[in-house]
Amino acid sequence: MMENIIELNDVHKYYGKGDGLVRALNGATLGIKEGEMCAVMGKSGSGKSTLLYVMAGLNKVDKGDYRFQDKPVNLKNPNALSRFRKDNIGLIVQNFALIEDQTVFYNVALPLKYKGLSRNKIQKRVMKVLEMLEIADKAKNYPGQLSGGQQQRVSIARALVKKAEVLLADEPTGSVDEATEDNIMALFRKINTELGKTIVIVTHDEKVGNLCDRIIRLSDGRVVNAG
Amino acid sequence: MKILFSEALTSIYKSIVLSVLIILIISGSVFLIGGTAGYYTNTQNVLDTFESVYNDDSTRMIVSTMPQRDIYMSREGIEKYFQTLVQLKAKYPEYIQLRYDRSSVTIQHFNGPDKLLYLYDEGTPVKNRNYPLNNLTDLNNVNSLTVSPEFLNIFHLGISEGKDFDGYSKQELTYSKDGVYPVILGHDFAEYYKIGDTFSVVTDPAIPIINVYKVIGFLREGCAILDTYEKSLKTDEGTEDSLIYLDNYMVLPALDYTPTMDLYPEKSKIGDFYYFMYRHYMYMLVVSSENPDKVVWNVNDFFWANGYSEIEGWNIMNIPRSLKIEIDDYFNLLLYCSVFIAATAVICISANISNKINRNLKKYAIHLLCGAKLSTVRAFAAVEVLLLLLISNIIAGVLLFLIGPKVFTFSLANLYNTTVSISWVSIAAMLALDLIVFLLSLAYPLWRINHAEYDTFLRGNE
Repeated sequence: MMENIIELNDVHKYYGKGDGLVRALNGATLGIKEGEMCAVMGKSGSGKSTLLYVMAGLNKVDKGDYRFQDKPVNLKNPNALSRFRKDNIGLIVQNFALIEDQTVFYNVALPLKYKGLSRNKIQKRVMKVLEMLEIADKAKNYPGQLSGGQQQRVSIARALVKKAEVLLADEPTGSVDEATEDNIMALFRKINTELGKTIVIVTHDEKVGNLCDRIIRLSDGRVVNAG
Repeated sequence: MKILFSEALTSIYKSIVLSVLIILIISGSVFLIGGTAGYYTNTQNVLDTFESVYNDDSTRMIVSTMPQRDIYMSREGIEKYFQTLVQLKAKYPEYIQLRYDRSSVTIQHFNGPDKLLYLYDEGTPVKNRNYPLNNLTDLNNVNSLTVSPEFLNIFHLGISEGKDFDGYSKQELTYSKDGVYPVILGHDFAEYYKIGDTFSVVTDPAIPIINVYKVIGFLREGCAILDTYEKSLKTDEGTEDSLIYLDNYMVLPALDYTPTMDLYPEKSKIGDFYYFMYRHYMYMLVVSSENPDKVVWNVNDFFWANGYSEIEGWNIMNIPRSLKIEIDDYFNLLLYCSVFIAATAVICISANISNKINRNLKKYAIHLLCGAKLSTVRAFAAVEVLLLLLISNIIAGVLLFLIGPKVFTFSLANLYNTTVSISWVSIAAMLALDLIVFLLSLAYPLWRINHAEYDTFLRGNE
């Protein structure tokens, strides 16, 4: 039986204060098994994206535990979270989150720069990933010169290049057409099976959810169905 | 580190117009603060030097005036006055007695233009006069300063060409019928006279004493003395107006005229001769004492005891002190301007960086998800401000080096001069200003970086 690579236990995350307080996560508890490709689904405002960003280490939480590979993640220490993100998480988002005024190569290389790799190593690794995702010829292009699908591939390349164990994707097909959506999901499946990466996809699209191994459903900041 | 500079330079480049404006503002502020700090350092040094001669609270220049003509209207009176001065010097050996008279001398066949002549009160020159008494023609009056040889050194009157009165013996400066005496001319005479030229001087038109003077040197341009006849010496008002610039003056050595009392016995019976003698033996005292008022009292008491009155003690430091107050006011204004400009720079930088941060939060979020620390994101803003400050300081430093001495130099003739140069105090002031600008301009941007919810900039619905 596969071990949980991610475990969240009674996680609370609030935004705002007083009457404006929003309980984005209100005691969310779940486990993600190593090597699985699962979807997190729920209505708008159910907390699925917040849950993903907590798993990515980009959000501090107000309460709760987070264990990664059976080790606690310090959700209150920004530097510890930074190290955690750098070493373990590749994040892919709906709007691609690419730096518009930098080339594809620069965008993909950025995580490796923060890892302190040499220029040669960065060059080799970036080009290898770009070739794998079939966008090596776009290395010198700027994001604005690419299609939505190509930009999402750049985003995936950036997540893959640092060899993170887990890829987290927030609505990765939300900004692309149906054909591209199929391609991207096929790509995720390929990465999952061939590279053995654990993939968590936040989506509201049932079709995307059905392409995953498991669907975790959220409502009002809680996991109502772990699939 | 490389990525920090890359991001900062990109950010500066993207808002190049605003960045240049900010750099100019900071440069101006740093330039002013550096110059002002340099001034505060240098001016104190200059004032200290000045005070070493004319100590602010311990120097009195005392000019003796004796209105009781009956006292000096006889040979006995003159001799008694000389004797009194000798006794005063014996009683107070620390007092420097200088012979000093500022008026005009009558010279024959003057070479120069009218502008170098002595002017009456109404501004007309005294020229081309004849004196039948001495059978002399073409006499012109020229401003003159008749002083003891050491006067030049004590009042820092430098020579630009030739030499001063040092090395002349008492004998050479004692009147003799065919004597030739040295004279130093003000700077403006240099165009019309040269070293070695001689001319005749009628020391007083009423008496037949005619001396030949030989030019031995020229004063530096801008040499000046404080006008000891002006009552402004007693107040803190007036600076330039209290100066006598010596550019159009002849400086004559005070000669020992006592032999004339035997050479011209028939003239010694008339009051003009004694007045001449008195005028050529006017004295000033330069005194350093911890109790300057006491000096004045002592001298007064001494002269009163010997039958003289109206001895006055004036604080000659009032003039440079007054000038310093004026310059201090000016530099205080510069300092306030500098602080105001710096405050403007802080607001500009803060607004600029804050705007950029608001625009760049998504980019920062991308850097964070790529593994950047929050401190790295903070450093993006800090390095940009540091670069702006660095460029500004380089510009300000170059400006201080190139034009600082012109902008921040003030002089009061040869008496007071302050030239700003980059000193440790300047550098410290500039760095302090940099630090203040750095901290204040980053306060809000850093707060914004620290408190942003970065996930909101990555979500698809944002």
